[in-house]
Amino acid sequence: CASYQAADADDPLAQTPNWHLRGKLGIITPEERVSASLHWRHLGRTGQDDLRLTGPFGQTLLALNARPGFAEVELDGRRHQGDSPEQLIQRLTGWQLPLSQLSRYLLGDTASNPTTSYDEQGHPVRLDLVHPGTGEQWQLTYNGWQQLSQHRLPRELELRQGPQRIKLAISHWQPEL
Amino acid sequence: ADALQQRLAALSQFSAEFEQQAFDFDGQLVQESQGLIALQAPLRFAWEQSEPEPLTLVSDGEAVWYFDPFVEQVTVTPVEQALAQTPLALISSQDSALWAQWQVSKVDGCYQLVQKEQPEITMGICFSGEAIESLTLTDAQGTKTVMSLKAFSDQPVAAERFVFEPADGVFIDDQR
Repeated sequence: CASYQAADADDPLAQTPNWHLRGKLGIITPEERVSASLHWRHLGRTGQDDLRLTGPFGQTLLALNARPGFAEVELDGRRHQGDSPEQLIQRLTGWQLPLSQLSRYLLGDTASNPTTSYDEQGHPVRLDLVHPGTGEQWQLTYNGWQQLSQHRLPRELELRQGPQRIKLAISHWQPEL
Repeated sequence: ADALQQRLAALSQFSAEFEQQAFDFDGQLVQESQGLIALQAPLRFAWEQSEPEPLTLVSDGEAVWYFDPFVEQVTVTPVEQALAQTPLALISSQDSALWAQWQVSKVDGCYQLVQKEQPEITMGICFSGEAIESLTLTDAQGTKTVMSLKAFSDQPVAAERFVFEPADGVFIDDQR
């Protein structure tokens, strides 16, 4: 097949199961607003995810490492473990995030979600995410697109549920061969 | 340590362009940013990041105003707390108690600082002539942050640079 990955091939990301990205994560709720730089390494083949949140001077705020059946978070010098990132994040923050679906949507790959609405250029605009366990619904909105490492990726996206908002901006994305 | 302290004392204020990169323990680049920095002893500094997203941290010597447009919030914290994790606190202060926590040595042109209580925390301060060329910090988690400075100037810095006026409508989280 073409060595150059055409941006709108039907499933552009299937060929790049392993990647890493740098960006920014923002959490806005009525009680608090938090933001951090995000580094996320996703190894699709082995189902491994390493996330690291850092402050403005590079200091580590949170490190999350997950692989099938196991997740560990280091926060304020203490380690917490769980069976999955969703379970761990729910225990630590009370948030029930449909994380497993997120890595695909994060990269703008929404073909598998029938609720997705598209704009005239065929870019996904909005979709609904339902948490498999709780049935809780989150709405995901895309704000702008960019080309990174020959792939069309969102510039920014936002997950919203009632007053809870999670914003994510991607500044660097690179597949790992 | 006094050689380094004297050198920094002679540099009571400066401004520069910064490029910062943070690497995790196995060398993966986890964060990259650029912008302008200004510093004025004691404990006043302005960190105006432009890339990849805008971010401003201003210390007026008592409190640090951390404005992040991404979440439309200003967080205000006492300067000691906010600066504890950065070389900026040390290089902008002559507080002997702060300096006493560090073991200072000179290694081929750069000053190496090792924290006495937690020796895995180290700092590097490299000069080129009178100008600071880079500040490096390795934290307890093994993350190494390298801040390289360019267009370094020790001309006086305008006082307003160290005052932050939050725009109206911005959420203020005052933790003082």
